[in-house]
Amino acid sequence: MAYSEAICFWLSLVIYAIAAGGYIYALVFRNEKVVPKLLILIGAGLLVHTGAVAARYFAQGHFPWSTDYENGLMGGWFIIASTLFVAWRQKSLRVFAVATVPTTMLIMGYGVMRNPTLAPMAATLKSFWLAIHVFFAWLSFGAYVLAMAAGVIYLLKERAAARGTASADDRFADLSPERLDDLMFKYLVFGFITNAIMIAAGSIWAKDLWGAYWSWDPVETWSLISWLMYGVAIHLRVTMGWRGTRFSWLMIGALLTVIINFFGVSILMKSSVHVFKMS
Amino acid sequence: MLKSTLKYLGSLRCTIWLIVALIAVFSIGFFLPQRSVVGKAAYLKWQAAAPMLARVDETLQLTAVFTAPITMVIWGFFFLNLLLVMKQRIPLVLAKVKVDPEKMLARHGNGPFNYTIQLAEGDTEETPTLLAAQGYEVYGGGERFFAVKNRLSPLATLVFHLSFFLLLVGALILFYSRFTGFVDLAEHEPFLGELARYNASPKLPRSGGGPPEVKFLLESVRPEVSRGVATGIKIILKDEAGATHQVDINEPYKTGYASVLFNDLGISPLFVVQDASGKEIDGAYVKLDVLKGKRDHFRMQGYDVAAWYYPDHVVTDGKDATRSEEFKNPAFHLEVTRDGKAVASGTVHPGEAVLLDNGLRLGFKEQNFWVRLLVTKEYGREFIYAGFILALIALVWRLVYYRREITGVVRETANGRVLELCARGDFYHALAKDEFDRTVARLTKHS
Repeated sequence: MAYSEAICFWLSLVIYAIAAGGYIYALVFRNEKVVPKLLILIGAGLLVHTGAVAARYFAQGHFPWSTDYENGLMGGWFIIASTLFVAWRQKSLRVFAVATVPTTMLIMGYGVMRNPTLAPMAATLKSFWLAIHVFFAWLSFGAYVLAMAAGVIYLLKERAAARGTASADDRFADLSPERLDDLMFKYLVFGFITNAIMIAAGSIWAKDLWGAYWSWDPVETWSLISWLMYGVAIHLRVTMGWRGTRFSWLMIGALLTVIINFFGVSILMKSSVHVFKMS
Repeated sequence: MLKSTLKYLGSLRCTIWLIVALIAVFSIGFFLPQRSVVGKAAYLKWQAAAPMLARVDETLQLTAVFTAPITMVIWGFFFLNLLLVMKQRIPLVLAKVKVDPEKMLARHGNGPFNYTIQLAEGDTEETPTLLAAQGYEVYGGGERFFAVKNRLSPLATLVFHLSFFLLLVGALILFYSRFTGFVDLAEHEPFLGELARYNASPKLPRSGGGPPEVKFLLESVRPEVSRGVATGIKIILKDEAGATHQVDINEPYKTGYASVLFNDLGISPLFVVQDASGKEIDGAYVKLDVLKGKRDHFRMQGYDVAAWYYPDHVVTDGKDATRSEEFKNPAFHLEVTRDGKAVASGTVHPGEAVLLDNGLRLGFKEQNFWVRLLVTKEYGREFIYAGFILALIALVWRLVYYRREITGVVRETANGRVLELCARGDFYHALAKDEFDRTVARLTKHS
């Protein structure tokens, strides 16, 4: 890790930690007025985070998109950027950061514990299709995390209403349960489409690199499992009418499959061709 | 019985269970070692470590689960389900996209979103115009109309299902027409596509036929390594017409439906045996698999030679080592035996030699490379690409450009003329309501 990158990386993590703490405070003490200020803090964190990405880009001459650390760095950037984007588009969605910021911290923290070493880009990663593949992977990951965040807020609202501490309409007042329910599905749809593009681009890349569109490699297999899982979610929603609580839990649970795909496979599997060796 | 089975097989509930079954089968393939994925050595090691489990898994074909009969059966049911669902859906979808304004207006008032707009005198014609400006197709006049946006969107459901069949056709053609074979070639070595030149067991097309007619000369190989990372390999091939083609990692040489991909790299040094006068009595480019510290051996003039390779040779504490993986200072450590007896050993750089018995010398003249190329040929990619593209188009078409409908009827009330609007949208409730609210606000502003 370059010196400037290390400073930016850790500083952004600290900022996100403060913001996450702030969100927990806002939730526990029901002081949602601080949320806009926290969003500014997250914005500052994203700027510093961008600095870390840029520093790494200049230090090694290519975008960080291969190792677990780089997945965490860029995946986290996309999640935070998506959070700020939806918050900018609709103020009521600012609260999503309560779930997305801690998730980002976890994946960045996990990544930095793995392999932050700077390295030239391996030849296997020099491909236009890989760039498309990774870009859409991050987009889908960001969307799925937002769907999970909408699910978490939905459940918090519902729980508050059930306990009688607040009616479902009081907590995060400008976000109705129906809206959250729709948003979950909308992010799911966005994630599902970008995930499909990710798989298609990945298989074209695989054809040029390994000679086959599909080899049932563990990462390929798990990405298909993850896509099918979200496909089931769409079916359950559209044809079986799954909504509300059940759908929220489904969005939270399904994210596990994506996290395993991004980070877990390289731990579990040593035989994956996706576990890129440095030599 | 058959009717009810077919009915269940054509149900969306069945679709969900079949996808869940596929997820379950793929999960088995993820967690249990698969012969086709882990490689023979790793598979045998696992088999030896857990013989009982291996036996059970093999009996149930769980170690080749992606092609196991159970998986094929699930896939079979999956596509049968798709067919039956399509059969049921086609008339429904066609009926939905074919607009019957009167039928729609008969349902007026039953939609989830209902609005009433007070009308000023003579402004009824403005509403259809405004809706049309927002992308709605409007049927009827200002007094009584049906408006629909993204009318054809339900067709995307059929397109999405069709795309799976294209993928299936493509996959089947590809599976039955696929040829794969590895061939090891040293620099300056020609390849005329003969089956015998391929390494053991090239996979011939299941539908019959032989290897592809790929002919070329391997002109040169230039590996690129930086800080221990393989950053590229420039392989130049010259075809029959004399045209040169560059192969790199991620950049195969494609000719027709055949591809030539780089798979592995090795060292192909020129070793010569010289007599006491310096005359070469034997010599050959030998293909050695010695990268990453591996040992390999070759025979020449009755000598057995074991070889270790150092791409960037250095002597550390009296021992041979390599500073990096870059080919900056290549050297071989050779151990020569004859009939099991040690004859000589030493480390040689290009141009150097080790002294053997009888006054002979084994010289390392120059270093070349050899590459293992993967030659593939298959048909069916057009179906696969078309399937992918159609699936993506269908997903966006159906789920992003979803259908919205509005019926409008003008009524006379005690307070004057009002326009009653009844709206519905596919999939989204709150978001559709927001959109209809905005539309109605615009209409109200104009009325």
